Amino acid sequence: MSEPETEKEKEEKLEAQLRESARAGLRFLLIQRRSQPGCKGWELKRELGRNYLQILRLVNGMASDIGLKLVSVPDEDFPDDPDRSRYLLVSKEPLSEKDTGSWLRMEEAASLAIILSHLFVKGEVDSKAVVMTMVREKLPSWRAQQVVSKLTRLGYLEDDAGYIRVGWRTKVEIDRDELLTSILSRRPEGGDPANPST
Amino acid sequence: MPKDRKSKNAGIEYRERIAALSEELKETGADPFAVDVDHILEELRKDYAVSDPRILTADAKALGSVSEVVQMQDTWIGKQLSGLQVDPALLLDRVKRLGLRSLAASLYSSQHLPVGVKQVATKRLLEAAEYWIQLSGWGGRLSLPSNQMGELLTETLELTPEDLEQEVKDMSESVLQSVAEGPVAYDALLGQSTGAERLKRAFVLSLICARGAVTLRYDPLLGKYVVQRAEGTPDSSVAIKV
Repeated sequence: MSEPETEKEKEEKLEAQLRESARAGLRFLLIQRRSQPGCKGWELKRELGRNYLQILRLVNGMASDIGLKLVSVPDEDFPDDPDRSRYLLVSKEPLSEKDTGSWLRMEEAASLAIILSHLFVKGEVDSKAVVMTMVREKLPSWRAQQVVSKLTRLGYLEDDAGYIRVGWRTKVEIDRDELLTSILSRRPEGGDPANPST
Repeated sequence: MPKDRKSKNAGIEYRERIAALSEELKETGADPFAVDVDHILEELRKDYAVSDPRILTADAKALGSVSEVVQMQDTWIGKQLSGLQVDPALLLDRVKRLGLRSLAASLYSSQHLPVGVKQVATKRLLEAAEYWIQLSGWGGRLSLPSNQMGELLTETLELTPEDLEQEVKDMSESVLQSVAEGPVAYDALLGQSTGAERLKRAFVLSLICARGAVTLRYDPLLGKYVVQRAEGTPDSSVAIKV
C-alpha cells in the first residue's frame, strides 16, 4: 500500500504542475500563428485553463529571465474583459537600431514620434488635417502622406473617418512615458550647449 | 398655439444636440471639460414641469449623454493622475526644434518590439523550392525586340509635376475600380499602349503602388504579376519588364 501524500508533497506537486503550465503558456505565446503577434485571452484560457491569469504571472517571471515581458492590450469594445484582451511578449528593454534593422526608416520613426507626442496629450485622437500639418512641417507633403499611410497600414495609427487614433501596434510597442521623457530630455540641434534643457 | 409649439420644438432640438454630445466627444477626442455641464443641467431644469412625452424622452436621452460626459471627465482626470504630466506647449516646442534624427532616436528608445517565433510548413517549403527552380539564373541578359528598343529610344516622355499629379489621379480611379472585384493582370492594366505611352502608364502605376492603394503580387499559377488592393504590411519594390 502506498503512503498517503504529505502536505509538503502536495505543495511540491502543485508547484511542478503550475511551472509546467507556465512553460506551456510561454511556448504558446512565443509561437506566432497569425499576422498579428500574441494571442487572445480566450485562447490562453482554452490552453491553460480557467486560472490562466494566475499562470500568466508565472509566465511573466519566466519571460523576464530571458529579457522579455508580457503585455496585455485590452479590447477597445470590452476593455474590462481579460478574455478579449490580446497578450503578447515584447522585449523588456528597447532594442538598438542595429538589432531591429530597418523596420521603420528614420523619417518614418521621426514622423511617428511627432504624431504620437501630439496624440498622447490630446486624448489619443485628433483630426487627420492637424496631424498632417504637423508632419508636413518636417517632411514634404507627398512624403508626409506616404509615411502616414504606411504607419496606418502597419497598425501604429488608425485612420477613422478623418480622425487619426493611436493604433493597436503603438499600444503594444511604444511606452508613452518613455517617449515623452525622451523627447523632452533631448537637446535640440543648435541649442545652447551650456543649458541642456533648452 | 404656434408660439408654444415653437418653444417646445426648440427644447427638443436642444436636447437632441446634448444627446449627441458624448458620441461627438468620443469621436473627436475633444477635451470633456470644454462642456459646461452645470449650464446644460440648468437649461434642462427649466422644462422640468412639462409632461409632454416627446420632451420627457428627449430629456432622458440628454441626461444619459451628460452622465457619459461626466464619466469621461472622471476618466480623463484618472489618466492625467496616473501618467506622466506633460505641458503640451513645451512638448510641441521641443518637437518643432528637434531634428528628424533626434525624434527617430526618441521613438527607438521607447519601442519594445513584439517577439514571436514563426514556423514554415513543409508544404510552403516545397512551394518555395519549386518557385526557386523555375527562376532563370542571375546574369541572364533580357533583350528587347529590336523594333521596340528603337521605339523606346527615339520617343521622348515629358511630364510636368502638375501633369503627373493629374495622371496619377485619373489612373488611380480606374485602377481602383478594376481591382475592386479581385486581382487584375499587370499587363491588362497597361492596356494595348506601346512605347512612351506604355512606359508612362507603367510609371504612373508604380507611383499609385508606392502610395499604398494597390500592390503587385506574383501569381505562380498565371506566371505573371497581378495588381490587387494593398493589405497588411507594405511590400518591397520589384523590377518589372514593361
